[in-house]
Amino acid sequence: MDEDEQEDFFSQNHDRLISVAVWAKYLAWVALIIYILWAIGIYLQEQNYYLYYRSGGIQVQTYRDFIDLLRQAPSYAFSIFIEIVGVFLRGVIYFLVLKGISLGLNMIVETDVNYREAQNEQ
Amino acid sequence: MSNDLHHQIYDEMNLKETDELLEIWQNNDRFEWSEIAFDVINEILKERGVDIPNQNEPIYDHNDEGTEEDYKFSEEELRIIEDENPPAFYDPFEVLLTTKRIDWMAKAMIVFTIAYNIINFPRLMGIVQSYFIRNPNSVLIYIFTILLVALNTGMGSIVIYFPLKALSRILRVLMEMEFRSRKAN
Repeated sequence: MDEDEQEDFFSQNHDRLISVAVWAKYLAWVALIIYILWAIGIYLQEQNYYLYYRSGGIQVQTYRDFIDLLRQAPSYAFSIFIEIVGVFLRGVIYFLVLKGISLGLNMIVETDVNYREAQNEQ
Repeated sequence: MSNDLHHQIYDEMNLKETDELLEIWQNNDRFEWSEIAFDVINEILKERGVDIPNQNEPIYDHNDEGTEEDYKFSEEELRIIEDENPPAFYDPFEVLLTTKRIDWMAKAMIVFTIAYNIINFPRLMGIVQSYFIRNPNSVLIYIFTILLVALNTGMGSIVIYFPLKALSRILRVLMEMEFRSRKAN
């Protein structure tokens, strides 16, 4: 098979599809990391709110620190936990969907190449 | 070695950064990468004018990671994973692992949606109560709130569960199609 035939065999469209798959694969990790940071950010934000109110002399002063507040107000702690888990799960979903897209595109290219190869042999 | 296969792997590897290729080369993971892949990496690194470093001891198995047996794959799935003619562009084990994780995630999201809506019960009750200002202790408030929470939970679960399940099924079907196309050769 000469170079031209090889080029026909693995076309520009295949290259593009593979490029998209590679992008999706890396973006999956980017999305996961961003959402993990976001989840951490929610916790830090709540902690900052607590410190802000405390510095303003509002009722939160009855708690020693933020952890104490979470211990003594389980419903509040649970709502923060659910919010953090929600953001984290969203990140995991985006990660899995992007990874799935990447794998799917690779499988489509592989299938097409296999059929082209079979046709070529015939 | 088939020229076509070499060409396909070359095209895929050539998209990678030099650092990544060097990492694959040095890790020498023969479980993950085929002999042809290493030949291609060597070729690309030479073309890019990179000094080719020594390889680590070859890795033939991943003992620290879960193996096929750990994930309870079906016979058909194991047949695809262990096929003598593996695909060049993806790893069937990775596909099956991803589909299993997606399935698991779909279920986890239902649990999460239920928990989220339970947490939001007081807020929803407040909304419903605003429509019963003249009779704030009406039993109807509870009935409507429960109905709203149930509806919200149901819809939320459906909207997340079915697309994830569909993606998981599509990936499995694509892999089976690819596997059959290999047999067509």
